[in-house]
Amino acid sequence: MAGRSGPFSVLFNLVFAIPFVAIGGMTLRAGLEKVVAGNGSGFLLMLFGGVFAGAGVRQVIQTLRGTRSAESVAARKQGPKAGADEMPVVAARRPADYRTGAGGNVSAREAYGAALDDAPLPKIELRQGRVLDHALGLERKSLNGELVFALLWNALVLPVFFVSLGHGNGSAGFFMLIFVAVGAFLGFRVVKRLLARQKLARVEIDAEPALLGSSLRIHVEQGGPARVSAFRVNLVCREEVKYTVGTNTRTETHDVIDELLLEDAFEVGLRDRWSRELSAELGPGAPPSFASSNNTVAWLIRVRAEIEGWPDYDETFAFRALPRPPT
Amino acid sequence: MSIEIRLDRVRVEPGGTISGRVALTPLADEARLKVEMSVLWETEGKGDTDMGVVAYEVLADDDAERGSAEHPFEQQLPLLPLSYDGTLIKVRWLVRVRRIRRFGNDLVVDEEFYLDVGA
Repeated sequence: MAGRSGPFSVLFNLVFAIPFVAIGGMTLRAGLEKVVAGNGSGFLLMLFGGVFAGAGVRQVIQTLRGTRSAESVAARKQGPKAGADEMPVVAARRPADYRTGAGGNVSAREAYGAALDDAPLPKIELRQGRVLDHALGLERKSLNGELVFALLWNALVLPVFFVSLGHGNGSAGFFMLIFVAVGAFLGFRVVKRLLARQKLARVEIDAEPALLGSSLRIHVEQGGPARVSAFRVNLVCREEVKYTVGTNTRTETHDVIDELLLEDAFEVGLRDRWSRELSAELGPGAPPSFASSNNTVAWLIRVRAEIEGWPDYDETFAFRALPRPPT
Repeated sequence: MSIEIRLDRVRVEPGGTISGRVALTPLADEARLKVEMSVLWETEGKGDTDMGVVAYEVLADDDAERGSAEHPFEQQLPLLPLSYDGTLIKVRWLVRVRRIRRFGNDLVVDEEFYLDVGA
């Protein structure tokens, strides 16, 4: 349960912040006097003083904020929605559709309406489908971070390696081989994943959000040329949590549901497409989608393919599944 | 201070209303302090705690008159999130009353209710 900062903790944090504010302030002032006197080095002093004083002021603000309850801070962040005299606005309208008996054919999107925007749900990427209504995007899309890191690493390590070899420094060069090896591994991994994604399957579903207690139609498509020795499609419901241990953030997952929907092997010719339509039952009591900063219940279509002469892929496509609203 | 939360119902359907009463009984010679009430969902489990506040209200503060007080409340709830009891994650809906103490830990009283379909 969330608490507030205790009085001694508040006192300690304020006492800790005071030297930062004082020293930063004095340095800032000294720098300003130098600048006014025409000494350019004063700018550096001002910068240094500003950073220090700013850090101290930030510490004071955060400490004083900690004296408010977590609930009042959260209510303030959410704005007028959680005001004392107002009804909560996290709920949206209650659409008449499902009240008037048309509920059986109402989609989750129609039933929930604007509540989908405010509710703690995963953000997913959707495109117009070709066969079914919605084409799903990858759960974790960007390889940019990995790519940039690999490029930076190699950009720093390789010149140093070649320079040390050029100077005939064998022992330094040998030592640098470790870093070169790491760079090669990083580069190989990201290139492999980029290549694998060039032959990634396309996944479409008929309803998004899907309704728990109903059947979900899934269309999977693999483009060629590809000789696929193993192709597996799974329906997965996954809990994922993040927690802090010291300064480290750790992630843990647990698959509540992991159902194999398809296992096959096939060959696809150049400019050809192989496809299958599948159906998955989403149980009425299955976990609904949920996402907050540190906790997620995600629904995924997992597709794994082993392609001869090409990097394999193992990717997940995210969608949301929600319970049928009450009638 | 003694704090008691009484809910009219423990199971509420999505979009429904949670109602009840909060009874505050200050103890003799007790200083006047702030008392807040919120209706919120909170995660519990292995992950760091997340919270979403649906309603927040100050029931009593330094200016409040002393003596027992009953505070009825009624709050419409959103359609999501539902109460959930999983392996790594639990989502709990609570009515929480917090009495702010100047020195020492706050007095916090929670009353859980369940937001689920078929309630």
